Amino acid sequence: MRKKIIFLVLALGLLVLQSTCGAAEQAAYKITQFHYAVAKDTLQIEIGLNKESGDFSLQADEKNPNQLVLNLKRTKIGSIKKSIALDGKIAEKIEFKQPDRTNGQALISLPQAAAAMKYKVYTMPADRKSNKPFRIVIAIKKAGNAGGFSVGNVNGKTIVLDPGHGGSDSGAVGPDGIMEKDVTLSVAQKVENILEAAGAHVVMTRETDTDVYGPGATDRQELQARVDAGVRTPGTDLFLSIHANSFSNPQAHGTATYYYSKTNYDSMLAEALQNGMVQYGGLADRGTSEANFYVVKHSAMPAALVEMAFVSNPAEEDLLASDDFQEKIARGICQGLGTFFAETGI
Amino acid sequence: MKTFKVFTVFAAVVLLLLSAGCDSAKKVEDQGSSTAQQNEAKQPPADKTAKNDKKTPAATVVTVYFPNADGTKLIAVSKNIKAGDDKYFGAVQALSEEPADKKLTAVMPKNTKINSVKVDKGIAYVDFSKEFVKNFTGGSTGEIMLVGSIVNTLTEYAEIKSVQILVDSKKIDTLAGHMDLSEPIKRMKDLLKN
Repeated sequence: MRKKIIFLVLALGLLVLQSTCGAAEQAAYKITQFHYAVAKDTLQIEIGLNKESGDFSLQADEKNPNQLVLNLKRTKIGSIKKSIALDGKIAEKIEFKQPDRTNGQALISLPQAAAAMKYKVYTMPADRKSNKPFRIVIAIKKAGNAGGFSVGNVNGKTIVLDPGHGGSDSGAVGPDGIMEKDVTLSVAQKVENILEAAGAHVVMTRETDTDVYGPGATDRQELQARVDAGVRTPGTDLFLSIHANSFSNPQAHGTATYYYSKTNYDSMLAEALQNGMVQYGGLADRGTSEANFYVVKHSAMPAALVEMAFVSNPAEEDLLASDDFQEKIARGICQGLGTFFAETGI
Repeated sequence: MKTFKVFTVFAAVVLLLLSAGCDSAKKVEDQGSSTAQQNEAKQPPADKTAKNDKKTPAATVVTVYFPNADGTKLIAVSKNIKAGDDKYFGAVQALSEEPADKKLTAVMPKNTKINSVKVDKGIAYVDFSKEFVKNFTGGSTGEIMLVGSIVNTLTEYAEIKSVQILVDSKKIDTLAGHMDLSEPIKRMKDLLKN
């Protein structure tokens, strides 16, 4: 009997302790770094934390339509500047606040309504080599324009778009200096605009001219970081890596698509994309091939890597650099995706 | 005696025709190797007989693969390598030479040195100097053609089933971010189709 009472008292004591601790819950995270950059009409804000957090959300402010609110649960602001002017065009400033003892908040003021912007929040892992902590990243740009092109069967689909190369890796470079990494990003953004206008959920492995893992990473780390965008996004239907081709002989030309047969759908996806690109882009059809390519091999979902044209071929290099061809090939890719979803019903 | 001579010549011609017939589907006569053949003519005749004998092919003639100009397939080319050179090493070395046929393209990155080629349990380990990665300039097609030319040249030997590419004795992840080169690569048969 006595034992029972002691036990009860102990249990009660523990409960009380726990709840008081809970009330005075310590902020678990601290902001340690702030950085922003603008590239290709996208403002990218990076908020560095002392450790990984999944406890955050970004939305338009209910009271102020020209403001975005990032709620950082259990996060202390730390010693960074509390108000920082941003680029002025996409966003005016960011203010860090501590609405209560445990939670942090960042308010981003926009020159126009948040509804007219496209914004998303995601995280990037710590990168010791480039001395970057775990980061919460906010990317903001003006809402995309589908360019008057619409595609069916992609509504509600989740698609990872991987603009090939980027940052320290220029990819292939053409005779006139056109870089693969720039072309792949431009086309991926056009594809993103068309798909989002058609109701798809698009996840980009990169939004700007940047390494996905970080500069100085091994090839495996960099490529796996791209694959991980699909892993991190539940319900991803497919992974599409966008590239421009290159060969030592400048004669090589045309459009090609590569896949790795690991699901029943990889070759079908490649076929649909290839047909779409050839139809809309109008270049020579090099067909689809199975290839031991890292990103398509290691993505769990159906995946393909498109090679839109040869940046090493002078005529195709000019095309790749032109907005007109980029738009055409983007439409072809979207058309291919629409066909793929219609054919497979996935 | 005379009939015997005539018969030998006849047999040799038939053998030559046969061997040419077998390979004509994919082989392109390489001008470079015919110059090399002139040098070879100075070698002892014993070597020459061996060359025409299918059962014991001469160690000095190797089949190597070069991509066509458009980078859509690999074409087999006969190359002579220095007598005494290791045949595997010599075959990979031959890929660094500009093919005489202008329709073909050399793809070995500039200044790449071959440190070694070793074969163990069906896997050929080809160890290149760092220029192999540093001076590589292609994209997907460039990678496929370079790796394909090396892998298909070495898997031409029945005892080699796959090829592991190394750079300065270490495995590499990729050349330029496309092919996964961390594991041995099997013969890339698709590149030999017409």
